[in-house]
Amino acid sequence: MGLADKGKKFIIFGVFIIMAGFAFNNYFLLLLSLILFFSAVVSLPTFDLSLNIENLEVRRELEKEKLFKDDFLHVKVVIKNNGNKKFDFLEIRDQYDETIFRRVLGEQFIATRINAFSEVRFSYVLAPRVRGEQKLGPLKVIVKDRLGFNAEERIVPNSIQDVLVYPPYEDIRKIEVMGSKRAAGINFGVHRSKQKGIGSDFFGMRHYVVGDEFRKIDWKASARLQQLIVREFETERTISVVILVDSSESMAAGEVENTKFEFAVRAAMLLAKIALERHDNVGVFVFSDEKNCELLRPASTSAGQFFLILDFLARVRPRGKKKIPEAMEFLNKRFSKRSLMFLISDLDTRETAAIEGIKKLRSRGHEVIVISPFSPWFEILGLENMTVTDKAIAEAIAERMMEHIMKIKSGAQRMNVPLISVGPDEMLDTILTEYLHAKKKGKAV
Amino acid sequence: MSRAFTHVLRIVAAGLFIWAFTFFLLGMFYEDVFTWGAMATFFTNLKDLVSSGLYMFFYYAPQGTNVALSGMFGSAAPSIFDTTMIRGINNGLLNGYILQLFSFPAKIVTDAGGNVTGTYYMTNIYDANKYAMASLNVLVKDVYSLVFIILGITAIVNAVLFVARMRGKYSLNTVMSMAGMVIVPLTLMAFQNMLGVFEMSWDVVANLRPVLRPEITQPITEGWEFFTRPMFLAILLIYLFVELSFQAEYSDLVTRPSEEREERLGYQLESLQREGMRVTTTIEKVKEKVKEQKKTGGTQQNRLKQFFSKAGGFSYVKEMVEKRKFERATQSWLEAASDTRRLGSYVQRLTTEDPEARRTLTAKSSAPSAGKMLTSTILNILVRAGAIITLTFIVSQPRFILTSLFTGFGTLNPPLENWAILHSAELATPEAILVLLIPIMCTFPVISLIIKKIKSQRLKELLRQEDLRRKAVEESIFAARPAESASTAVIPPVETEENSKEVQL
Repeated sequence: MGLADKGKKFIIFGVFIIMAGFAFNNYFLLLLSLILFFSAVVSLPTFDLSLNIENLEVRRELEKEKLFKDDFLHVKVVIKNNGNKKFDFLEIRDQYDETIFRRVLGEQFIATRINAFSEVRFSYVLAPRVRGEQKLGPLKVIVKDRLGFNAEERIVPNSIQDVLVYPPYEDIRKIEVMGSKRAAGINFGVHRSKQKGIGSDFFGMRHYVVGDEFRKIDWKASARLQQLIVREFETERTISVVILVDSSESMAAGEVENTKFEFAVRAAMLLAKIALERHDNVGVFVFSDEKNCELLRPASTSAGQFFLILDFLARVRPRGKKKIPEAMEFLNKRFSKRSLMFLISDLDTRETAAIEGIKKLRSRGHEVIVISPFSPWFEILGLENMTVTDKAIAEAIAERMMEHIMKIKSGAQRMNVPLISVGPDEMLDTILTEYLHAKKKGKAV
Repeated sequence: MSRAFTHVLRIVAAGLFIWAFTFFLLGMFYEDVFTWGAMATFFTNLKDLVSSGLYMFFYYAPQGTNVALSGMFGSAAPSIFDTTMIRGINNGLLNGYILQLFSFPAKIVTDAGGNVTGTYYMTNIYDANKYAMASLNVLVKDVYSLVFIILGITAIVNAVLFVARMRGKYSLNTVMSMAGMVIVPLTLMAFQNMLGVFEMSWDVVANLRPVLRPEITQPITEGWEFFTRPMFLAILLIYLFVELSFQAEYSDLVTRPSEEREERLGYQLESLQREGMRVTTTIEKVKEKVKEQKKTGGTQQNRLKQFFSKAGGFSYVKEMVEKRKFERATQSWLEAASDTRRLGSYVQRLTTEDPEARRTLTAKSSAPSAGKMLTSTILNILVRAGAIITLTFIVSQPRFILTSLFTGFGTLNPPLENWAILHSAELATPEAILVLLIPIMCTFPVISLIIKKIKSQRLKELLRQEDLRRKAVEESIFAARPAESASTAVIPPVETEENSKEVQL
């Protein structure tokens, strides 16, 4: 790097003054220019001689490498001088993408002096704005001479670190509060999810019909009523829940933090948490086209499953074109167990393709519920500055989209598949309600 | 303690500036260079100049019109368009009436030596031309003085800014302003000299008083006497001020962060604690408000249903704009409030779990010790000042240095009369300093480049040796393993597309 900005400024001023000195034949100006020139360059060799940047060890220590969106991350930077020479002036700057992280406390840079064999530490606190696999770094080191005339800039090798940002925990926290209310009996009955016919919990009585097992006949009741009465029992059944998240590019439209995809991921995480708490097997399938499909199979309700889902959901990102039938084909080939499937997609594709995709799922006997984020409700950028024409176009687009969804909806209804259009505010509530409703009905048992 | 040292440096630098500036003004300029009255008289003279100009315009405009009209219509109506009428207007109207509306004080014009060369009055239109020239003459002198005053004030203001903000760039601006105070009169002198080449002279410039003392305009003395000259002392003081100001900036930059961080963090933590309590109660109120708003507006699901059912009067855009307004008003506030509350508890937990956290957040370990700062600063100033003054002396004395070199600094006695370069006219010119300046200036970057090259070679060699050592260690490890495991280790695993996509549990 050599001369820094200050050094260059001295040289420029020096040149100007020496020119004036020559022009006016004035030694005061000439001497002044000489002083400026030598001030800038005289320490250049000693700076390079003492510059043993290899002896400088700079590393970043993260409090954690996985965290929820909007959680806080304490980032510590340690600078160690392993050499026997001091660094007069050192600037360390930890870089991060400001669209992804926001700094909430402390500062991510320092200007300091570090003596031989000594250490300097500084730290700051970040909060991630966006879910996903995010990069932190690199660390930039600028070594200057005391007066800042000469400088050397380096990027610390391997100083880019990955931070895995889960969807926001706030939604789960709300559910946990609900859970505590439920434990106190406030929401009693909400989680009724049983299969009639087998088990040992008494369900009710009914008239005997041909084909009923004789052992189920309640003889006392039959004698009392002079008719054959059978006792019915019910039991809790574990079902498989697969959450199908559309990860095509159309899902990423809108504000970065509030896209349909982000809401879909949050909804998936929330549903997974609730379903796992109810001892259901939960899997996640993220899809766009046949090349971009990833399946996390439903597994036993071990404690680790939720963290696997979190990891899985944290890493997915929207990419590829939407090809629902191909993606469903992909899923059918790899997973065939009858399940309750939540398809979260904006259905921004041909109506026939969307219906065909649902059909493929139904053909395997899956119970399907389609939750469709209604695109115009999520993509609300720049509405304030709209002209009358723009507003008319927006209205027309919204209506066009509505008609499109309505057509798919009627196709889905023929297959007994509910399709619910949702806005951002009630998307999470709706998916939970639908799940509880399905459980109550004993779907996919 | 190290901050106290920074403040001492700042005070010393400020003191040096006062000394340097006073010495520069008194030693390099004549005392009457700053005519403070110029600020007041400038506007008076400007007004007089403009007034006389206007007056002349009133005079020459009817004259011109008369000439034009006479040319066109003089033969047709000579009784109207004769010069008598216009002369009457000039004498009667301009001299007798309009001139009375203006006030034209006497203009005293002096030459470069301060001697009065003439006093000019405006009694009638025929004095206007001379009076305007005299006004211009006086005005230029005022402007000349004003330029010095402005440059001097700029130098002082920049020095004050340096003291307040501790940034070296202000001291550099100060030096540039001081250099400007020398360059301005030199430029005018050069202009006058240039006119002289063409045997011309412009009184307005020629009448300006010389402001620079011979100490600053004369060539420097050869040899060791150089160090006794006032010009050298002025340069030395200016240089020391710049050097010290940059040292103070350095000291400020390395000591301030820890102090400021401590203050800022303390304030932030205090605010978090204070706001955290208030925010909790306010959040509840805002949430209640949001609920009420939702009740009155209906849930979004209901509104969406309404939209899908194509209920009359429902507008998507209107709905969205209202939603956005509502969100802007409450959502951002709620988020900020929630952040404040969470951050407060997070910091509390962090400082409990990690006792070092507060220390690192304030970067306390970055504060250097005052003792080391003092030693290194004094040493650095001495070494740099010594080197810079020596180099300046060498470069500015080409004849003296070359003579010393040829005579082996007095140890040899060669026939100097044979060395044509020592007697050349070129060596007596200021440009001769380039003879030594360019090679010496280039020496530093070249040495720096050589050092870099040697270091990079050494580093490459170190890395090569490190690589060889690593390979040797790896080979010894593989040699100890069974052959098949070593061979399988280098074969990359075959991954099918499906395998890579599906997350195996």
